Amino acid sequence: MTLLSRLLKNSQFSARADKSALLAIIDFSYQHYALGDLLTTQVNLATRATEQDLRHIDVVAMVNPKFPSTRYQPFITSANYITHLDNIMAVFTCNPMLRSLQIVRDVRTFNLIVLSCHVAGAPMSPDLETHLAMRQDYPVNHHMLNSFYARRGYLPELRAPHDLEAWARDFHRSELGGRPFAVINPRQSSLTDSPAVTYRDAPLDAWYRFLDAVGAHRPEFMFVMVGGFQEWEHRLLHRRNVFVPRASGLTLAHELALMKIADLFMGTSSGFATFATFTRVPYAILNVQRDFAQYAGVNPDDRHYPFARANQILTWHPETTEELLQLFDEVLAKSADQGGSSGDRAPEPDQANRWKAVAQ
Amino acid sequence: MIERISKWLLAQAPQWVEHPNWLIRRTSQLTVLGSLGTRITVHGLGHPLDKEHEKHEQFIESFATSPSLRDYVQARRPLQHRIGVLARTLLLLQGADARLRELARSQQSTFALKIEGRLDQRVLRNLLIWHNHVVRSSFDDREERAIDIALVLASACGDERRVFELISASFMLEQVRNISVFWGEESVDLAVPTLISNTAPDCQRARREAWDLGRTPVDLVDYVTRRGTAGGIKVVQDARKRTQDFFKTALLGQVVIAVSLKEDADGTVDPTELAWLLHALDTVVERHSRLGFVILNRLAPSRWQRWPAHIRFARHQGFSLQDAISIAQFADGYIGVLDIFGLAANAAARPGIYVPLDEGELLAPPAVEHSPAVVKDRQVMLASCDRARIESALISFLEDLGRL
Repeated sequence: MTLLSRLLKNSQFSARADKSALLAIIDFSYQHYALGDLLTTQVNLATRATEQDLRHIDVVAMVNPKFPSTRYQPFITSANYITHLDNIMAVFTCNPMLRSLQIVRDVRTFNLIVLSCHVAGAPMSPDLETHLAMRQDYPVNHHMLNSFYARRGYLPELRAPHDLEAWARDFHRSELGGRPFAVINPRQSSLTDSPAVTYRDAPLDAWYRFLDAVGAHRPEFMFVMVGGFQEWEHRLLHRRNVFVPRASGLTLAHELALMKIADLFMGTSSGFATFATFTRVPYAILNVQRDFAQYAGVNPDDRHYPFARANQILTWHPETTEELLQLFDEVLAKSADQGGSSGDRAPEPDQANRWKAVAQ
Repeated sequence: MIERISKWLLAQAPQWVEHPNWLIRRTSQLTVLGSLGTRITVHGLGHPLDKEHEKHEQFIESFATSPSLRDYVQARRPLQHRIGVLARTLLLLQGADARLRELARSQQSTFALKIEGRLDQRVLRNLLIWHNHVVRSSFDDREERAIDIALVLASACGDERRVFELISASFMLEQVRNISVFWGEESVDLAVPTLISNTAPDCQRARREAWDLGRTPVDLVDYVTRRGTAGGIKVVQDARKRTQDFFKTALLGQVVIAVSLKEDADGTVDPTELAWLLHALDTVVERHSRLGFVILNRLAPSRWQRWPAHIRFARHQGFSLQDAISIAQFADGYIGVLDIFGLAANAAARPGIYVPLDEGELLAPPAVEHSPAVVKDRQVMLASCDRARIESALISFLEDLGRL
């Protein structure tokens, strides 16, 4: 930054910026359009702002239409970046300290904002040096979060996208009949336009048997399947205990809001699982990649993140019907112990054995 | 002297920066960036430039979108990385400098749009009315000005659950470049860092009166309801593709009519309106089986039922708001209210029956009970919510389309 200081030394100008807020830069020329990473980034920003005693976060998301994505997402082009950007807008509003959101598509405006913030000496994340070096590690790690938790005993929690938690409660009451519900997200990348690491896709037959088994013994329990419209098989809609928000014209924002009030989340380690990770929602995150352990600051096969509650469980291998049923019971039972919501009900003592029979 | 050398170098630059020889190419690129650094050091930021220099600025800016610059910046080799970061630092200054000059010389480019109270179908419609009839009408016809909008959600107790739809629609507006959302009026000034140079006035912070999207003047709403609108929407390319795929797979060979009806407070279609429309369509569809209707509004899940084959709900088939706007623009016809979908269809010259979103918003007709419909290019602007009139216009319009 010495060069910048030298270049600016003779220029006579002044800069103004609110030093009680953190300016968060999301520049998609080197940062990913990825639900999980963007959500982790929101929590990282909130911890950074809290550490610096800041009151707000102002997010500036920069997309240069001529250069809309990183080299790792070449399928996002000038012709379709708006769709991708539109899809992830809700993520920024999950930030618990958000005060403003600027979506900038003009490099000049963006550069002026960044330079003004730097010259004013106002807090910015990433710092100017990191931004200029286009440095961003993937996946976004939990190191800062773990150390924040270790020092303070809590983590900032993601909130439902702006104003939608009230909508979710209304919707739960009016459209889901107030029934207890789990949000599910078995990964199905192979059904999307840009399939990736499809070997991590969830075994759907195991899931179908699980849904039917729960349906047989707890018919009041609903499953809300979240994820892109392409990411589920039509057979799912045949089940009376399944609701698919995207098949009712709802969006990611609605799905995240529903997750926030769900009785539990069960799904493959992915973007939705990240949302659960940074909320109080009880969860079973399945088939976490062993490689991810180093980024999360845990060991493979650990059952919990350092900051997780007892009813927030990880698994590190592909799931089976039996395991899904056991996890379902375990998470709900632990939630009931902790005085969970009205939707939580402890399973009967012989439930586990019955699940086994059903699964077979 | 420095200025003369810099001018000469810049004049030569375009022919050298893409030279096939690596050394010449990179040297000339660094020279261009070096001259930029020199200019900023000597003159400071925001210094006015002549036309020739401005042209060169755009040329320099194209470096910022070069994949090889990113390769340099992200390179593991220290020298390459340092050169890349140096170039990016200079480009950061160049961009900020260019924006300061732009602010100093141009007219207003940032417009504040206030939303107080419920963010509903009317607010979404008013966004397009504002874009097409307030902002664009103030521009010179030949001007292709990009504007920035600041959406100010002013009321703490307002229902803003549809803010994402407002953002989605804003992405599609032709003139709109940058979009900001501020929660609370007080954050507008605080949230944006500004730079004030000795040569450019503080244009960034200049306060403008916000346009209230909830209270568009009655005469403007009346004008648009009777005469329609034109242009204003830039169709997202992949939304167009999805639209055409949908027409070809789900409605192959059918005459596609996009439909939008009044919505309830939660953004779902008003069930009474829907029931009435479906009943009105029954007789026409019996005679013209080629007609297919795509409803663009969301339907509450509890209202879902088995629908006849000629009725589709786009939003329930995985289509976003942007896709639905695209469907309105590419369908063979449109029937329904003049909400954002209705205006989009109207702007794309789709034949149709266009009904006011709320008759109460119109100027009172002078003497007659209902003002006559305005018909132009098979677009019938009804300016009335009278169901008998709508039904009669609808049947006549669909009979015509059904014969296609």
